[in-house]
Amino acid sequence: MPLLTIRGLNKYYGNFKALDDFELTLNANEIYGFIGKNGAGKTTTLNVLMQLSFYETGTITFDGKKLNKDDYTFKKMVAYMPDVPSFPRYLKGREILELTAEFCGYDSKKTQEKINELKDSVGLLRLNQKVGTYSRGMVQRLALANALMQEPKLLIMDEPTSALDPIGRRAFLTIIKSVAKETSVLYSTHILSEAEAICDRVGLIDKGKMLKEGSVTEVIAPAIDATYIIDTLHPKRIIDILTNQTWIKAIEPKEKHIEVTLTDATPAKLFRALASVDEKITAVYEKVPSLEEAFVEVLNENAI
Amino acid sequence: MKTLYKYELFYFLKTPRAMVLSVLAIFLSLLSVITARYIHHILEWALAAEGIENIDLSEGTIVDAYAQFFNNYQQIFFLVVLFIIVGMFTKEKAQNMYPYLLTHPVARSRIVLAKFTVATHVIFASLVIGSIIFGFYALVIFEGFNVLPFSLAILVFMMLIKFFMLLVGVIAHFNGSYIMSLTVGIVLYILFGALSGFDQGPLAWMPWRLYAFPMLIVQDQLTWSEAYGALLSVIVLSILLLFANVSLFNKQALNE
Repeated sequence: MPLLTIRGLNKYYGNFKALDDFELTLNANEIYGFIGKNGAGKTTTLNVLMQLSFYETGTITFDGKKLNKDDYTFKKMVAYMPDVPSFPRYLKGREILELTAEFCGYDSKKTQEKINELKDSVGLLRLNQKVGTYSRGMVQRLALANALMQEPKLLIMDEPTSALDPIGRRAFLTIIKSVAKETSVLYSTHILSEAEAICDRVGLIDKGKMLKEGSVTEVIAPAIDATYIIDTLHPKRIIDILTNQTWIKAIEPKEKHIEVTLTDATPAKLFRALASVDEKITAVYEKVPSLEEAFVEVLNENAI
Repeated sequence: MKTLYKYELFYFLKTPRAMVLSVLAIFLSLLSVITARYIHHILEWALAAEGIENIDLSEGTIVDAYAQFFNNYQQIFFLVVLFIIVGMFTKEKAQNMYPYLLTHPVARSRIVLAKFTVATHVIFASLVIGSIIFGFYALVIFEGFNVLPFSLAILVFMMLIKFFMLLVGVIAHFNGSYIMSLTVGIVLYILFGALSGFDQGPLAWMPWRLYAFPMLIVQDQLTWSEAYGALLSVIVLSILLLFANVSLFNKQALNE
């Protein structure tokens, strides 16, 4: 049973339709990459989900229970890390975590244990100083610790690594992967390499609509035509033979190889044609497309 | 609710707000007693410097002290409260702080209630501190201070503050801008003060009548049968304003 399902969600800002019959399915214990360019509707979806803003029509089901628009009790099981986390500047990092622990109903022993645990795992520094003195990266780490403090069933993260340096970003992704053993993660990002690295499933959103949803392989494979790379020192002869074949969609000569895009996924005809060529071919292999290429392809398809 | 109360209390205690209110209350109380006691001397010196002498100014009395006290509180303390309350609602939204609270399982209505409860307690505590200081020095300097009517007058003044807090809360929820809310609040505050003297017919029931009540109470000049209408209207309007605050906050998008 999915942990979270969103069906037919519509949300307007004045006349602008921010979410258009939006759908999403998130399973238990998976990292779901919520992908879209800036302004696609990612943050709006998460805000609606966390009841920070409201929607016109649609249904949201969490853990088998349909949520009412003002039902806040499900937040016992959900933690949220906004794109720009903000905490009261006059409170210390430790006080923020202690308040969160109180909201969760922890006793003081469990609170201190959790804080010490998170201090090490998230790399929290200067917990006894006021948040107003923190850098953006430190606030981001505090926000992650604050979310994990709640031991959520679902962790919602909105572009969480935006303020981190490359080392911090890598450490963050490692934490998220380790958290996902016990928690489902809805990970909104426009950095596709991150999604490719950690997500089990992804959903591509554009103009408030879910364009494609599935495992990374499922999303990439049908979106990109099968492309093969032929390494050879004499590309001209091979190009002559392959040109005008009906099963070839495109041939692209490069400096040291040729890229051949097929009309279908099976390369048998290509191999037969290459076998008949009396030229030295060093290697023939399939080009593995990236999620980024798939994303651009899906956006282009839907733009037509 | 206890954690929410604590969170909101931090807003006052870990920022200069609670300190400002308490220090201001102490300062205004001392100023009221001193002004009432020595204003005639100061005036005599000032007039003498201008060559005007032999003018007999009467000595200040406890009634002058009461008048100074309520004037100072209505003009300065009230205005500071207005700044704090408007900031409490508009700045938290502007600084995108609500997601921290609203990602926890708390009802929005409780957030509003916690804010008003804490603000009321902190303001009332400052008033009590100010009243004790005033009472002590009034007793020492004027050798006469009537605790019961003064306490009653403070309670009525607090009712007025509470009513105004709820009113500016609605304004702040409605337009969300600090400057705009503050401007509207100050205009209403001046308007209420100007209208407080009108007590004919239905005007006697209006909430702004409470501006005049504290001074009338300490002078034993308030006719309670005539005051009930205004007191009742303030209570009823305060309840309605509280519902309006909760309703507006419930409908507000807080991260767009």
